[in-house]
Amino acid sequence: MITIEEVKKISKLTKLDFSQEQMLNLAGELTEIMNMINILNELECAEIEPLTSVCDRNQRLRQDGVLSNDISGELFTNLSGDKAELAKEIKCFVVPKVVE
Amino acid sequence: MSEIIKYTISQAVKALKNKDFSSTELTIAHLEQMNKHQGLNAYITETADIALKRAGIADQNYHNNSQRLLEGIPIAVKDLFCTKGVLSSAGSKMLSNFIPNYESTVSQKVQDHGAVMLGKTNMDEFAMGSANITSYFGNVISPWRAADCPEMPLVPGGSSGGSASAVSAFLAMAALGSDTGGSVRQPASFTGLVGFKPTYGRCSRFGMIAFASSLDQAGVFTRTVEDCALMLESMMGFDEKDSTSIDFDVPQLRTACNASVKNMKIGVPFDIMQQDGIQPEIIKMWQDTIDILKNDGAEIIDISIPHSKYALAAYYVIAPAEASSNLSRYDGIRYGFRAETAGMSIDEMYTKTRSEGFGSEVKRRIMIGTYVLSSSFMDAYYLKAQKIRRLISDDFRKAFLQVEAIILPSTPSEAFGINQKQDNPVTMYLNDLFTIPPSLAGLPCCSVPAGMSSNNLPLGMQVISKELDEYNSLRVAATIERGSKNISFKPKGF
Repeated sequence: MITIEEVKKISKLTKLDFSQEQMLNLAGELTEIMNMINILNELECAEIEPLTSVCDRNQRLRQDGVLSNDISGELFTNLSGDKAELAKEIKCFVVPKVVE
Repeated sequence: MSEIIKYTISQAVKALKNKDFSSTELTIAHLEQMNKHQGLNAYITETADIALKRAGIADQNYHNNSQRLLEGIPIAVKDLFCTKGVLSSAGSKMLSNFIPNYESTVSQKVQDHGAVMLGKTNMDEFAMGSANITSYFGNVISPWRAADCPEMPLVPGGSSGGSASAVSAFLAMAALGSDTGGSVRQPASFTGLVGFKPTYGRCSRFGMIAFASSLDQAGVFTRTVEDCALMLESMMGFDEKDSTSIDFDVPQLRTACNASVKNMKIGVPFDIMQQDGIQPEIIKMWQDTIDILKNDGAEIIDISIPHSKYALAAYYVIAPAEASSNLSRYDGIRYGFRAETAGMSIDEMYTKTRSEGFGSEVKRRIMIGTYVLSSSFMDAYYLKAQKIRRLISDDFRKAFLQVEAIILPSTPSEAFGINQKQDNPVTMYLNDLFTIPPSLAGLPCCSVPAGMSSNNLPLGMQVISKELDEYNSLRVAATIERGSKNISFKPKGF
């Protein structure tokens, strides 16, 4: 069972904010989902190698080199929020103050 | 001219070559149909200007006899594919202002083959859903209606619900979708369409907005198996921009559509068929399909996928875990939605942006994903799920030593009402019961319409083949299509 305290802890990790009522609902819903997932406990898998990718081929490698041209102008075209225009002008991402 | 929207792609290509009508006329007919059926909410963005411009180029190419494979064919593109200069929202408020500077490889490839993009289709937010009821841009409605309750709007399935509704209602001749756990096959089944998810790695994921990277794969909706083969030939292929892309030649797939299944060994997991809880109509469709294949000379073999009952649970660990990681990029800083955060700290800005930008299903999956990846549960859930993924993949490998294709229903039920199955999330997740096992194994699968429920709603059959063997999935699907030709998979009134 997932408790409200656990929901609070996970929401902090995910950087998501929920009201008390939403947290109560989430605790119930996540418990239901985990109950469905707990069927995995039926199986003993100690000797099984985890499958991380269905591509069992070797990872391709390439030379470490610059392939694209200067796209610094394009990087700022999708900014939003009240500092978007300033960011486009100075070509820097504008964030709230980090150091007090 | 409105009847030309009913042509299959193959028929339309012939007619365009014959100059029976032009691509511009065909495109206008589709734009009119889109306008007439705005109520389905199938498109998030319509791109009429781009479409008419490309149709003009197509007409010129036909005039010069330099036409390409899909020259002048109007198609729709799921809003999960990044399209240069055109809004690509993934159905989310988080990307509701995102206009990419680049084109996804798959949408580029189909347009390089001459296809005309009509617009971007609606979808469940970040492809998370089975009913297309989680989009920031509203629900998509299916053009189908149940015989016993014609006033109730039905879901088209999800997450590629807009693409499914668009092709089923003749708002496009084909549509690109994406399939992580069934998001092409399940809506194809609900709307009477052919839906195909190729082998993982066959289609480049470059420019596809990520949900669960080890499972995400581009797919396609068409009205016939032959059209599906045409689209796949243009979509698939190696791309160095995707590190999981398979460098393997794309075969000619259209010949599969006329190939018989005589002497072909086709597997049926009879143990699954005998499980409780599967609707009798689904079982009947399955049995009818077996008869069609037997009549064409196939040998039906009883196979077993013993770990398939663990697939849903393993998927709902792996997919949310990958999603929680992939969606951590949405912080409001570089692109996408940013909440008003005057006077807040950077942490508060992240939290407010993410809390306002994501919908409830996406938040739920991020929470589950973070939970199963947290240090205390990593081994018990995430690692365990990956081990079970290995067992399921091995089950399929063993089965394919005996058979060349496997048939399973696409969905456990017919389409349902917009407001049904919302009591708890697990009820909705069960929709993907049959599509998830082959997804975990990365196998190619085709959903083909194979029956009608007593409610006069379409039911789809899934054909699974081994890695890189799209040909045999299409070959079996085409046989099922021929055997079901007496059934009309066109929604009433369309």
